[in-house]
Amino acid sequence: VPADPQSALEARLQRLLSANQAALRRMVASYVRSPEDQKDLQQEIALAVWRSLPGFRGDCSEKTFLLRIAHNRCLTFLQSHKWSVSLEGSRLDPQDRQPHAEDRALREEEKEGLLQAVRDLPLIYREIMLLALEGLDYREISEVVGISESNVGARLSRARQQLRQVLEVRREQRY
Amino acid sequence: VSKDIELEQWRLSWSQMDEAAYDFAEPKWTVAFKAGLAAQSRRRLWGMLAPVMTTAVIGGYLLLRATRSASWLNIASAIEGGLFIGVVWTGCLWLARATWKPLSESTAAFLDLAIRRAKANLATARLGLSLLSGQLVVGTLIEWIASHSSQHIFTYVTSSPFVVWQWAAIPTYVLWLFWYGRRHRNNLQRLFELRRQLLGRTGPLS
Repeated sequence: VPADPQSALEARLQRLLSANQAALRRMVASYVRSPEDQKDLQQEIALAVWRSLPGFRGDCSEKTFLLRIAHNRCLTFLQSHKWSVSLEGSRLDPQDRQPHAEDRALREEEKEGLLQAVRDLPLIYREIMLLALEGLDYREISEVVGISESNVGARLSRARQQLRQVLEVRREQRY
Repeated sequence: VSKDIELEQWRLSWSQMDEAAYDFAEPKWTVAFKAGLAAQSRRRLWGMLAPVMTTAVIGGYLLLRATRSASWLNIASAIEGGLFIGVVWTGCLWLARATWKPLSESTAAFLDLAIRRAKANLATARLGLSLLSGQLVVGTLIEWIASHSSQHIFTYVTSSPFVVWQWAAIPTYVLWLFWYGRRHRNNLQRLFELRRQLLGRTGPLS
């Protein structure tokens, strides 16, 4: 057990980040495409969480707290980069070269198709959709984004509609 | 497909998307930062060998010379040398206090340690200038009184090549100090900025 408050804070931070690293990774990948930008943004999020963690009083779940910070950092990052994020290197993982690579590649393509479709959503729908995909309910999404629950419902409905259309177009293009 | 099943399917695909996630567990720079400081600690321990050896060699030589030939010059040099070594060690150990290891394993503690070390390095270099100047003045005076008191002090310090070379060490040291100070002040600024970003803290060290 860490003896001093700073070590305890770091242990808590590491536990929090480790438990939610996949969600954070997906959120970052939804906003930023270049792997380098993604790494920078991940580091910024980790620092922001570090700074904010001592003030966290448990008024929402840790995941909501984390995603709220990550969401804000992502938006700030986009603003500071004037929306000119690189389109290069948009794949999350390199192509699999193992046996059954074709099956896995197809599944990966479907998953990545979802990521690409989320990325193509307008920002006001994208931020709602990716939080919904992370399993947050309306109340939690409203806490993260800072809008009312009814607004969340309306935006999510439109986001789903648009996402469905984008995925259908992609599916048709593939076959 | 009902709307909720559709959303659940998306969630499932979404959650499986990134199995090889980037390691958020500890930012890589903090790992590298801590490793760098740990390596610096090891170098500092090895670096202690040089002053220990210098102390042993110079102190031993002065002591041996005084016991073999108890002239006024040899005894005075041994006493002065011993005092000088004592002052150097006291000063260096005083400045090096709380710079040997972090107070905890947290990154903030490592950062504080790096700042303490950078400050101690600057103070040690400034102390070095005072000690070098003092040693040259006192050493020259002892040498002049013991062996060259018939000469005017000014004639002595300008006639002996050895003494002139000794005095030339001071501007060289000042130039080095300027370069060294600039490097460490830049490093200190970088560390302060890092601490401000990391902890939002600009005040004195904890």
